Amino acid sequence: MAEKKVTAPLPGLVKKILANAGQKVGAKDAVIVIEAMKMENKIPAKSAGTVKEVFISEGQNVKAGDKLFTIEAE
Amino acid sequence: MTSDALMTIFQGILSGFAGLTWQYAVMICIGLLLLWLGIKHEFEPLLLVPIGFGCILANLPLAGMMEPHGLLRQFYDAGVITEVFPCLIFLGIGAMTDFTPLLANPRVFLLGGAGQFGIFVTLLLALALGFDRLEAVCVGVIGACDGPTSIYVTTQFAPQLLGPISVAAYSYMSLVPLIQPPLMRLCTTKKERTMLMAYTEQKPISQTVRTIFPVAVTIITVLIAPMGAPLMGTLMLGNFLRECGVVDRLNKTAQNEICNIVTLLLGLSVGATMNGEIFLTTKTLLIFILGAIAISGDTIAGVYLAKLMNLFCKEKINPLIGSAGISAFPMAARVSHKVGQEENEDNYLIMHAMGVNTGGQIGSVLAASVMLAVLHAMGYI
Repeated sequence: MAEKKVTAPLPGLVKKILANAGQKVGAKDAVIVIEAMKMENKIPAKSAGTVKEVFISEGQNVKAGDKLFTIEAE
Repeated sequence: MTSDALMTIFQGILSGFAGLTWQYAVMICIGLLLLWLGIKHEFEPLLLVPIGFGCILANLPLAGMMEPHGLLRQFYDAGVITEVFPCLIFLGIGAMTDFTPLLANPRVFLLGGAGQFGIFVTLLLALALGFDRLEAVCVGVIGACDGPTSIYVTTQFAPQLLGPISVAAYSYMSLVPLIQPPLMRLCTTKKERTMLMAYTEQKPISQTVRTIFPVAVTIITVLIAPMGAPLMGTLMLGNFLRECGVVDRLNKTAQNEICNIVTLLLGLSVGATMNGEIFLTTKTLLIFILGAIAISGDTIAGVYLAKLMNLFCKEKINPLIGSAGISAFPMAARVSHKVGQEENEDNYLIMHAMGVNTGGQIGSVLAASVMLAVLHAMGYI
């Protein structure tokens, strides 16, 4: 059981949170949608497992490198 | 009622049909095709819907929409001939454009310059194919990949070609997502396409810088190329309204109401210029072919300049963003981003590509203005 941290790959606005803490996700599943330049970018979980913690909320601005969520990988 | 009178009434009712020449019929079909592309495929619907409808209206015999005092002629004379419409569109585009990605990474402005390469190639090709000088300039400007700029230049120097040139310019803008990706793949290696570009080292751009930028660009570029002042001036005025922070109402009006109203009227007027006798000639066909060459040239030049910059720069650029140097804002930037993601899902090129794309926006106006300045100096205009 390894905990993996996912950071924002680009600056933008958190548009939607698709999976909350405790939810099971696949590696390709989008967890968060960041809007940058009117374009929605889905941020995938990258590893299959359970969302441990989400550090941001909808409507929040993030910078590149900000911590978004952690995944407890299976 | 006598049978003679009945005949006269019938003739009166049917005269429109009698006047329907094959040119009119073909142009009406083209109008329907534009509507279909706009509605069914959502190719630039905001432009193609009014253009298509304008084309149909102007090609209905005896309706006289484009005759002197006809309704569409009034719109055309008031806004297109005077160049008021393209400039007002630029006001809106300026207000919608966020130049921050360009300011954060100013060197990508060079790529916006390379994206204008196609203009000059096409200009030479058009001359070789026998277009006269001023017509060739207008055909070349399709390579700016920017509707208002093409309309502005063509109205001044070859108004008879306004229909084909503006329709070519707008059609190719909407085809950018189809034309560019194969060329981008052809000109790059897998390793180049999967290259990641970080955002972390970028410093935030202060409001002061963002406010000064449009004013500085206006003064410098208009001193270089005075004839481009109406386009550059309105583009930068729009951006100034956005960034200065105290006229939010004007900013919103420029972005929404003004831009929407003018888009409708400009689209209708442009559609109305699609007159069968001028449009259905081999010249139009040549203009469409040259337009495709212009946009391909822009794309390839942008990608290769990015590769060239990588030879000298420490911080590498993913060459896929080079293609965003053609104007076509913001589609071109999105195309770069999408191709990048297809190659490597960790690749988020959008902000970098937007920097190039906004640079291309300024670059295309500047290129057109410089060309006008050169022609003026040579005594052609």
